[in-house]
Amino acid sequence: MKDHQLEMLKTFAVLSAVFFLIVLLIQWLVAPDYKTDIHQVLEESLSEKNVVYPSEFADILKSSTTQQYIIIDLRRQDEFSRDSFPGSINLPFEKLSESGILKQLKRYKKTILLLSDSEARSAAAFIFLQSKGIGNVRYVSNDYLFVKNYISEPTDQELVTYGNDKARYDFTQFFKVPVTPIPVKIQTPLLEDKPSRPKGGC
Amino acid sequence: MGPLIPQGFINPDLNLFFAFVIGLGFGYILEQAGFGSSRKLAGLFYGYDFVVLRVFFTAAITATTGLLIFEYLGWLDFSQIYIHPTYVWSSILGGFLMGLGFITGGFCPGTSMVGAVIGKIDAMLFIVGMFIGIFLFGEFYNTFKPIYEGAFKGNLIVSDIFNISRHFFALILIVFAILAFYITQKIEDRVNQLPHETINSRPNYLTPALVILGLGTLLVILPEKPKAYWYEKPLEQSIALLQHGEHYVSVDEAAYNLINDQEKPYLFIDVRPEEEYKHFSLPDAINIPAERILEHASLRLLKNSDQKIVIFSNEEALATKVWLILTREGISNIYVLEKGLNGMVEEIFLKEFPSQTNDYQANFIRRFRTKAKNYFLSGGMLNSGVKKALPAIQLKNDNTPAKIKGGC
Repeated sequence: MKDHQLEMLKTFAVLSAVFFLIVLLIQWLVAPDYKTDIHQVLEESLSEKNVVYPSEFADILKSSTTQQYIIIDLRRQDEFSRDSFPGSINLPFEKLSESGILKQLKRYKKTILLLSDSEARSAAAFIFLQSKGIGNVRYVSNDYLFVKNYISEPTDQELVTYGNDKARYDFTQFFKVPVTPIPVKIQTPLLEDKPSRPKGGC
Repeated sequence: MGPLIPQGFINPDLNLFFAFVIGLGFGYILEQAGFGSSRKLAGLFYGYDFVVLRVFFTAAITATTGLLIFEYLGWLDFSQIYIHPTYVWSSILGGFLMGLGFITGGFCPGTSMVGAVIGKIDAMLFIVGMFIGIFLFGEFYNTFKPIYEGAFKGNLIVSDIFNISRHFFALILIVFAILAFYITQKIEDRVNQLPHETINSRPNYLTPALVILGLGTLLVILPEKPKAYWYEKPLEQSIALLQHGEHYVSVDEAAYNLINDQEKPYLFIDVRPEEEYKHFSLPDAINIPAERILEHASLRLLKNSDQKIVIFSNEEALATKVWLILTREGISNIYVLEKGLNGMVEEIFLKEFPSQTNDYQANFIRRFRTKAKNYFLSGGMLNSGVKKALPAIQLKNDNTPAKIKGGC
């Protein structure tokens, strides 16, 4: 190999290493500050163990297990001051992403229990906190009013789970569509079930 | 992001074109490395020329480091890389035959092509012999089959067997390669009996060696993979959208989209389990169960959609979870069906409107909902919209990701 070629090679090697380091730095700077991997957050948010059903919530309120939990009420401040569970703390949903709040939440040793005016919001707050690295969180299935009514007057199990994404109607009675949609598989040439042996060598 | 073809960045139909381009480069490098000459190739066995070892080892450590760096930066998904399956007997036997053929014929299959192209007659004869061998193998395939497919061990890689990290294995490989370069150079010099001046005047490769060693070390000492990549979006924005309900597609909008045959601004994604989808789903809806939303096929579909994506489930909560996760993943243009399917039924079919009011807007909504109700109840979707809508698409089970295949 001639000298000038070697010089080129050396320059190339050094430049590529520098390039890698710069890209690494940029990516660290650009990436949002998450403490938990997105796949794990998805798994946690779909996991049953992070949901508190009204029955369990009633138990928590009644018994001494309140000591292990801190109830955070995500409704607006005026709603909270009108009516709230004893011992709960108000943190309006829109203040969730404010700086300082996370630090404060991290300081709690107890499990954080999220409650708001809809299950969707509680779950959203749950995902937000999980992403930010606060793993010690659960959220209440159903909204504030339902839970409130349930505690004063427990209903049957079917209603308890209605917040948990259950169909309340037989939709086929309303929408007249073909009863069973025909599944069509998307076939791409690269999707093969079993990798066949590649024929080739050097 | 990568690998580009299975992830849909490059059309699979262009596969052969890229094979051609890469093949040009591969052939060029082989020829430039001197692999067209069987004397140079066979030098490995006699100790007077180790260029084969140097070229292939350099290629191996460069590729390894590059792949690991790409993976660390989130540019490449290792699970999609094809790993050559291990068949113990055929590897041993094939390696033996390969070595025998190499030393006898002076070429290996790839280099014989290079040799033939630059006009080496022995290389052409080598290719003829190779094809005869291939035909014989094909003819007696059933006889060879037990050996060929014997002792199948799966897609093994060394770092998994020894339970060390890929990064650490790469560093070991790099150190090993550099040592091998040094030692074989010594052997080569001794065999060729080169004068000291020639050896001393030779350029040294210390810088590239140090660079790759440095990168290998860096990979080992880097902290574990980052929890978030650069393409992920901060959730604060999504929280603000949620707060004001700007992520909603209302029941009326969805109903309009279903009724209107011509314009289809929305792509409906049903995130409920498969059984519920099979029982009922909105026409044209695609079923991606929530737990599979981050699979490659799902993300590919969502990222390539030019329609607005509307996530729905029975209630709102599940859809909102999926929506939030997807906004973190960096997918914009995505909405949630307000109050879910339950809410849609309540709003359109069960809600009672006062028949006459002076409120223009209330009247407007009442008229629209009555029309929609009659349309759905009379099976309007069966007659018109369903032409396009009927075959609801379902994602193929993508547990075994598409793999790239390749040999050397």
